[in-house]
Amino acid sequence: MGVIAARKGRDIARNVEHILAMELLCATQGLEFLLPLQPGIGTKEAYHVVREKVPPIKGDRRFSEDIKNVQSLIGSGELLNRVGKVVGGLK
Amino acid sequence: MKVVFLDGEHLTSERVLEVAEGRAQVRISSSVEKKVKQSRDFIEKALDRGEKIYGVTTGFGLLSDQIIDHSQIEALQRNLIRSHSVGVGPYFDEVTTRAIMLLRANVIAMGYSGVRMEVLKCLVDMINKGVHPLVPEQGSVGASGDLAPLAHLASVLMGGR
Repeated sequence: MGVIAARKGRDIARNVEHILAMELLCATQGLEFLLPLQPGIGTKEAYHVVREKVPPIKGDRRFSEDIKNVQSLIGSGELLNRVGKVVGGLK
Repeated sequence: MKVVFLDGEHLTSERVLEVAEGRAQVRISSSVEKKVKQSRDFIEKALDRGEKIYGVTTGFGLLSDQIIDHSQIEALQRNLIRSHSVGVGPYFDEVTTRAIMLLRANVIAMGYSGVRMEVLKCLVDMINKGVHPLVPEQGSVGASGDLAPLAHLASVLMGGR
């Protein structure tokens, strides 16, 4: 039972990472639509972390790789760490 | 090697498994070309007459009232494939991918899709030569649950562009 629950938990966590990755892709693009308005420093750092891996969307392309790249930023903790450094730690 | 003939009407689950597991080659039945060409001609002629065709000269879903200019109808088809290539998670194994490809070829062979014959031939060639697209398992929901996986399949058909 414990193993089954753990595997299920792992799958759910991965699914949530994928969903957050898609939301983050949209939000990143959204910030560019709002220029010259600037976000706060934490959001801005998150923006840069995503844009280091994913170029702006200028037309349709296969987004599968983009979603995967952002998901690994979330899953590895890189996004959280980088934003945490700028805003003085996230808990 | 054993040959499975594809005519869009008589495919069985046993034959699908034979092809999926690489125990049989696929050949397109002689009756198919006429059906496929007829459905393609139908689309081409309607286009020539300037008729409005959902998904060909219009946008999709909520955007179906958007008319697409003739100069952009090819881009519309390419972008449809690109924008639906949003699958995530692990890739289907080779046997499953081959089954997906065969089922799609079978549907096209029915002659209701308006797809060019050369596309069907290319898909069958891919099966026979072992060209297997990487298709992520997750990414589609609901009644149109095969849109994302099939977009990944089609994007290899159009050369990954």
